[in-house]
Amino acid sequence: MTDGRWILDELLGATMRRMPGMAAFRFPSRGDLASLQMASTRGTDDSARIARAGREAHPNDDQVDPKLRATTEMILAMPVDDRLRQLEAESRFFSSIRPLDG
Amino acid sequence: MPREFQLIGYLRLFAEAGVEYVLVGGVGARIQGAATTTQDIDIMPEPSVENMERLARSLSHEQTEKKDFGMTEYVPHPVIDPMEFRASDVSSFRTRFGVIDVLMDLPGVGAFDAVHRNARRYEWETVTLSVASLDDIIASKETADRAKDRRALDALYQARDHLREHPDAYELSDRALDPERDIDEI
Repeated sequence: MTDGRWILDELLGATMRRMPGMAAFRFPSRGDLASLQMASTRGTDDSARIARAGREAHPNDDQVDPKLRATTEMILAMPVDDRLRQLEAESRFFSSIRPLDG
Repeated sequence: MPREFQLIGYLRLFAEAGVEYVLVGGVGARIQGAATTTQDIDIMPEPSVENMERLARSLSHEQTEKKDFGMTEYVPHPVIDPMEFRASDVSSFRTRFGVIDVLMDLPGVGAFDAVHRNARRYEWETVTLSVASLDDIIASKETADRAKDRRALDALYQARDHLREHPDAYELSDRALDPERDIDEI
Protein backbone atom coordinates (compact mmCIF):
# COMPACT_ATOMS: atom_id res chain seq x y z
CA MET A 1 0.00 0.00 0.00
CA THR A 2 1.47 3.30 -1.03
CA ASP A 3 -1.11 5.60 0.51
CA GLY A 4 -2.08 6.15 4.13
CA ARG A 5 -4.56 3.34 4.09
CA TRP A 6 -2.13 1.01 5.81
CA ILE A 7 -2.24 3.26 8.86
CA LEU A 8 -5.98 2.79 9.10
CA ASP A 9 -5.53 -0.94 8.55
CA GLU A 10 -3.00 -1.07 11.35
CA LEU A 11 -5.23 0.91 13.70
CA LEU A 12 -8.28 -1.15 12.86
CA GLY A 13 -6.22 -4.32 13.15
CA ALA A 14 -5.19 -3.35 16.63
CA THR A 15 -8.78 -2.62 17.51
CA MET A 16 -9.98 -5.90 16.07
CA ARG A 17 -7.39 -7.87 17.99
CA ARG A 18 -9.01 -6.49 21.10
CA MET A 19 -12.52 -7.11 19.69
CA PRO A 20 -12.60 -10.62 18.15
CA GLY A 21 -16.23 -10.19 17.20
CA MET A 22 -15.25 -7.54 14.67
CA ALA A 23 -12.60 -9.65 12.99
CA ALA A 24 -14.41 -9.47 9.67
CA PHE A 25 -14.20 -5.70 9.60
CA ARG A 26 -11.28 -4.07 7.88
CA PHE A 27 -10.60 -1.17 5.60
CA PRO A 28 -11.45 -2.33 2.08
CA SER A 29 -8.65 -2.67 -0.43
CA ARG A 30 -8.97 -1.12 -3.86
CA GLY A 31 -10.03 -4.52 -5.18
CA ASP A 32 -12.69 -4.74 -2.50
CA LEU A 33 -13.93 -1.24 -3.34
CA ALA A 34 -14.31 -2.19 -7.00
CA SER A 35 -16.25 -5.27 -5.93
CA LEU A 36 -18.49 -3.16 -3.73
CA GLN A 37 -19.21 -0.77 -6.58
CA MET A 38 -20.14 -3.68 -8.81
CA ALA A 39 -22.31 -5.10 -6.05
CA SER A 40 -24.10 -1.77 -5.78
CA THR A 41 -24.95 -1.92 -9.46
CA ARG A 42 -26.03 -5.53 -9.14
CA GLY A 43 -28.22 -4.53 -6.20
CA THR A 44 -30.69 -2.84 -8.51
CA ASP A 45 -30.96 -5.97 -10.64
CA ASP A 46 -31.26 -8.11 -7.52
CA SER A 47 -34.06 -5.91 -6.18
CA ALA A 48 -36.03 -6.27 -9.39
CA ARG A 49 -35.43 -10.01 -9.35
CA ILE A 50 -36.61 -10.29 -5.75
CA ALA A 51 -39.72 -8.25 -6.52
CA ARG A 52 -40.47 -10.45 -9.53
CA ALA A 53 -39.98 -13.59 -7.44
CA GLY A 54 -42.36 -12.23 -4.83
CA ARG A 55 -45.04 -11.63 -7.43
CA GLU A 56 -44.54 -15.11 -8.87
CA ALA A 57 -44.69 -16.70 -5.43
CA HIS A 58 -47.95 -14.91 -4.55
CA PRO A 59 -49.78 -14.35 -7.83
CA ASN A 60 -53.20 -14.25 -6.19
CA ASP A 61 -52.31 -12.69 -2.89
CA ASP A 62 -55.31 -10.48 -2.26
CA GLN A 63 -54.10 -9.76 1.26
CA VAL A 64 -51.49 -7.36 -0.07
CA ASP A 65 -52.57 -3.75 -0.37
CA PRO A 66 -52.23 -3.02 -4.11
CA LYS A 67 -51.06 0.51 -3.43
CA LEU A 68 -48.42 -0.72 -1.02
CA ARG A 69 -47.31 -3.29 -3.55
CA ALA A 70 -47.15 -0.65 -6.30
CA THR A 71 -45.06 1.69 -4.19
CA THR A 72 -42.81 -1.16 -3.09
CA GLU A 73 -42.23 -2.09 -6.71
CA MET A 74 -41.33 1.50 -7.45
CA ILE A 75 -38.78 1.63 -4.67
CA LEU A 76 -37.22 -1.71 -5.54
CA ALA A 77 -36.93 -0.78 -9.20
CA MET A 78 -35.38 2.60 -8.48
CA PRO A 79 -31.61 2.98 -8.80
CA VAL A 80 -30.10 3.68 -5.39
CA ASP A 81 -28.57 6.98 -6.50
CA ASP A 82 -31.93 8.25 -7.75
CA ARG A 83 -33.59 7.25 -4.52
CA LEU A 84 -30.96 9.06 -2.48
CA ARG A 85 -31.34 12.21 -4.56
CA GLN A 86 -35.09 12.02 -4.14
CA LEU A 87 -34.85 11.59 -0.37
CA GLU A 88 -32.47 14.52 -0.19
CA ALA A 89 -34.87 16.73 -2.16
CA GLU A 90 -37.77 15.69 0.05
CA SER A 91 -35.75 16.40 3.18
CA ARG A 92 -35.02 19.89 1.87
CA PHE A 93 -38.73 20.33 1.18
CA PHE A 94 -39.84 19.31 4.66
CA SER A 95 -37.22 21.51 6.30
CA SER A 96 -37.91 24.55 4.11
CA ILE A 97 -41.70 24.63 4.27
CA ARG A 98 -43.03 27.29 6.66
CA PRO A 99 -46.51 27.85 8.12
CA LEU A 100 -48.38 31.00 7.17
CA ASP A 101 -51.10 30.77 9.79
CA GLY A 102 -50.55 31.85 13.34
CA MET B 1 -43.66 0.36 -15.46
CA PRO B 2 -42.72 1.39 -11.92
CA ARG B 3 -42.25 5.05 -11.21
CA GLU B 4 -40.54 6.71 -8.32
CA PHE B 5 -42.56 8.82 -5.93
CA GLN B 6 -41.68 12.45 -6.45
CA LEU B 7 -43.59 14.60 -4.03
CA ILE B 8 -41.98 17.74 -5.34
CA GLY B 9 -42.80 16.73 -8.90
CA TYR B 10 -46.47 16.64 -7.98
CA LEU B 11 -46.37 19.94 -6.10
CA ARG B 12 -44.72 21.70 -9.04
CA LEU B 13 -47.11 20.08 -11.50
CA PHE B 14 -50.16 21.32 -9.63
CA ALA B 15 -48.69 24.76 -9.04
CA GLU B 16 -47.96 25.20 -12.73
CA ALA B 17 -51.42 23.93 -13.69
CA GLY B 18 -53.16 26.13 -11.13
CA VAL B 19 -54.84 23.21 -9.39
CA GLU B 20 -56.39 24.08 -6.03
CA TYR B 21 -56.32 21.28 -3.46
CA VAL B 22 -55.77 20.34 0.16
CA LEU B 23 -52.97 17.94 1.06
CA VAL B 24 -54.23 15.13 3.29
CA GLY B 25 -52.79 11.79 4.44
CA GLY B 26 -49.18 11.06 5.24
CA VAL B 27 -47.60 14.03 3.50
CA GLY B 28 -49.96 16.41 5.28
CA ALA B 29 -49.20 14.74 8.59
CA ARG B 30 -45.45 14.88 8.09
CA ILE B 31 -45.55 18.56 7.17
CA GLN B 32 -47.12 19.14 10.59
CA GLY B 33 -44.43 17.23 12.41
CA ALA B 34 -45.72 13.68 12.55
CA ALA B 35 -42.94 11.08 12.50
CA THR B 36 -44.35 9.34 9.49
CA THR B 37 -43.22 8.42 6.04
CA THR B 38 -45.31 7.77 2.99
CA GLN B 39 -44.74 6.74 -0.58
CA ASP B 40 -47.77 8.37 -2.13
CA ILE B 41 -49.62 11.64 -2.07
CA ASP B 42 -53.26 12.15 -1.10
CA ILE B 43 -55.09 15.27 -2.18
CA MET B 44 -58.61 16.69 -2.05
CA PRO B 45 -59.27 18.94 -5.05
CA GLU B 46 -61.50 21.98 -4.92
CA PRO B 47 -64.54 20.56 -6.70
CA SER B 48 -65.37 23.28 -9.23
CA VAL B 49 -65.64 22.13 -12.84
CA GLU B 50 -62.73 24.33 -13.88
CA ASN B 51 -60.43 23.02 -11.15
CA MET B 52 -61.32 19.39 -11.85
CA GLU B 53 -60.52 19.97 -15.51
CA ARG B 54 -57.13 21.41 -14.56
CA LEU B 55 -56.45 18.40 -12.33
CA ALA B 56 -57.50 15.92 -15.01
CA ARG B 57 -55.28 17.63 -17.59
CA SER B 58 -52.29 17.72 -15.27
CA LEU B 59 -52.52 14.00 -14.44
CA SER B 60 -53.27 12.84 -17.97
CA HIS B 61 -50.11 11.48 -19.53
CA GLU B 62 -49.06 8.57 -21.68
CA GLN B 63 -47.55 6.87 -18.61
CA THR B 64 -50.55 7.39 -16.32
CA GLU B 65 -52.26 4.32 -14.89
CA LYS B 66 -55.40 3.93 -12.81
CA LYS B 67 -56.52 1.38 -10.25
CA ASP B 68 -60.28 1.09 -10.14
CA PHE B 69 -62.05 0.43 -6.86
CA GLY B 70 -61.72 -3.20 -5.80
CA MET B 71 -59.08 -3.96 -8.41
CA THR B 72 -55.58 -5.07 -7.55
CA GLU B 73 -53.61 -3.72 -10.51
CA TYR B 74 -52.93 -0.36 -12.05
CA VAL B 75 -53.82 -0.35 -15.76
CA PRO B 76 -52.90 2.18 -18.46
CA HIS B 77 -55.15 5.22 -18.34
CA PRO B 78 -53.49 8.04 -20.27
CA VAL B 79 -56.51 10.33 -20.54
CA ILE B 80 -58.50 11.26 -17.45
CA ASP B 81 -62.04 12.61 -17.68
CA PRO B 82 -62.74 15.20 -14.96
CA MET B 83 -66.00 13.42 -14.16
CA GLU B 84 -64.05 10.32 -13.10
CA PHE B 85 -63.06 11.96 -9.85
CA ARG B 86 -66.69 12.28 -8.84
CA ALA B 87 -67.45 8.62 -9.53
CA SER B 88 -66.02 7.47 -6.20
CA ASP B 89 -64.73 8.91 -2.95
CA VAL B 90 -61.17 7.91 -3.84
CA SER B 91 -59.51 7.59 -7.25
CA SER B 92 -56.04 6.06 -7.32
CA PHE B 93 -53.58 6.81 -10.10
CA ARG B 94 -49.96 6.01 -10.77
CA THR B 95 -48.22 8.61 -12.86
CA ARG B 96 -44.62 9.39 -13.77
CA PHE B 97 -44.41 10.97 -10.29
CA GLY B 98 -45.71 7.92 -8.44
CA VAL B 99 -48.96 6.95 -6.75
CA ILE B 100 -51.57 9.61 -6.04
CA ASP B 101 -54.98 9.27 -4.43
CA VAL B 102 -57.59 11.89 -5.28
CA LEU B 103 -60.19 12.06 -2.53
CA MET B 104 -63.61 13.66 -2.87
CA ASP B 105 -64.51 12.79 0.72
CA LEU B 106 -62.25 12.51 3.74
CA PRO B 107 -63.60 9.70 5.96
CA GLY B 108 -65.00 11.09 9.20
CA VAL B 109 -64.63 14.70 8.08
CA GLY B 110 -66.48 15.32 4.85
CA ALA B 111 -66.04 16.99 1.49
CA PHE B 112 -63.57 19.65 0.37
CA ASP B 113 -65.25 22.58 2.12
CA ALA B 114 -65.21 20.86 5.51
CA VAL B 115 -61.53 19.95 5.19
CA HIS B 116 -60.49 23.28 3.67
CA ARG B 117 -62.19 25.18 6.49
CA ASN B 118 -59.81 23.67 9.06
CA ALA B 119 -56.75 23.48 6.82
CA ARG B 120 -53.46 25.17 7.66
CA ARG B 121 -51.55 27.10 5.06
CA TYR B 122 -47.85 26.59 4.43
CA GLU B 123 -45.38 28.40 2.24
CA TRP B 124 -42.93 26.52 0.05
CA GLU B 125 -40.80 28.59 -2.31
CA THR B 126 -43.44 30.79 -3.97
CA VAL B 127 -46.23 28.26 -3.53
CA THR B 128 -48.91 28.33 -0.83
CA LEU B 129 -49.97 24.85 0.24
CA SER B 130 -53.18 23.99 2.07
CA VAL B 131 -52.72 21.10 4.47
CA ALA B 132 -55.56 19.32 6.26
CA SER B 133 -55.43 19.85 10.00
CA LEU B 134 -53.96 17.08 12.09
CA ASP B 135 -57.33 16.71 13.79
CA ASP B 136 -58.94 15.99 10.43
CA ILE B 137 -56.19 13.61 9.35
CA ILE B 138 -56.53 11.78 12.66
CA ALA B 139 -60.31 11.63 12.26
CA SER B 140 -59.89 10.13 8.81
CA LYS B 141 -57.49 7.48 10.11
CA GLU B 142 -59.74 6.65 13.05
CA THR B 143 -62.72 6.32 10.74
CA ALA B 144 -60.93 4.28 8.07
CA ASP B 145 -59.59 2.03 10.86
CA ARG B 146 -57.41 -0.14 8.64
CA ALA B 147 -54.36 -1.80 10.15
CA LYS B 148 -52.02 0.77 8.62
CA ASP B 149 -54.25 3.58 9.90
CA ARG B 150 -54.11 2.22 13.43
CA ARG B 151 -50.34 1.89 13.21
CA ALA B 152 -50.03 5.54 12.21
CA LEU B 153 -52.26 6.93 14.92
CA ASP B 154 -49.69 7.00 17.71
CA ALA B 155 -47.37 9.21 15.67
CA LEU B 156 -50.28 11.46 14.73
CA TYR B 157 -51.43 11.81 18.33
CA GLN B 158 -47.88 12.72 19.37
CA ALA B 159 -47.63 15.38 16.68
CA ARG B 160 -51.01 16.82 17.62
CA ASP B 161 -50.08 16.94 21.30
CA HIS B 162 -46.83 18.68 20.46
CA LEU B 163 -48.62 21.16 18.24
CA ARG B 164 -51.09 21.96 21.02
CA GLU B 165 -48.35 22.43 23.57
CA HIS B 166 -46.19 24.49 21.22
CA PRO B 167 -48.55 26.32 18.88
CA ASP B 168 -45.75 28.64 17.80
CA ALA B 169 -43.16 25.91 17.36
CA TYR B 170 -42.97 25.96 13.62
CA GLU B 171 -39.76 23.98 13.68
CA LEU B 172 -42.13 21.02 13.86
CA SER B 173 -41.26 20.19 10.29
CA ASP B 174 -37.67 19.67 11.31
CA ARG B 175 -38.72 17.10 13.90
CA ALA B 176 -39.78 14.85 11.09
CA LEU B 177 -36.14 14.71 10.00
CA ASP B 178 -34.83 13.58 13.37
CA PRO B 179 -33.30 10.14 12.71
CA GLU B 180 -33.77 9.17 16.35
CA ARG B 181 -37.53 9.26 16.05
CA ASP B 182 -39.65 6.22 15.39
CA ILE B 183 -41.12 6.34 11.93
CA ASP B 184 -44.48 4.89 10.98
CA GLU B 185 -45.56 4.24 7.43
CA ILE B 186 -48.96 5.65 6.56
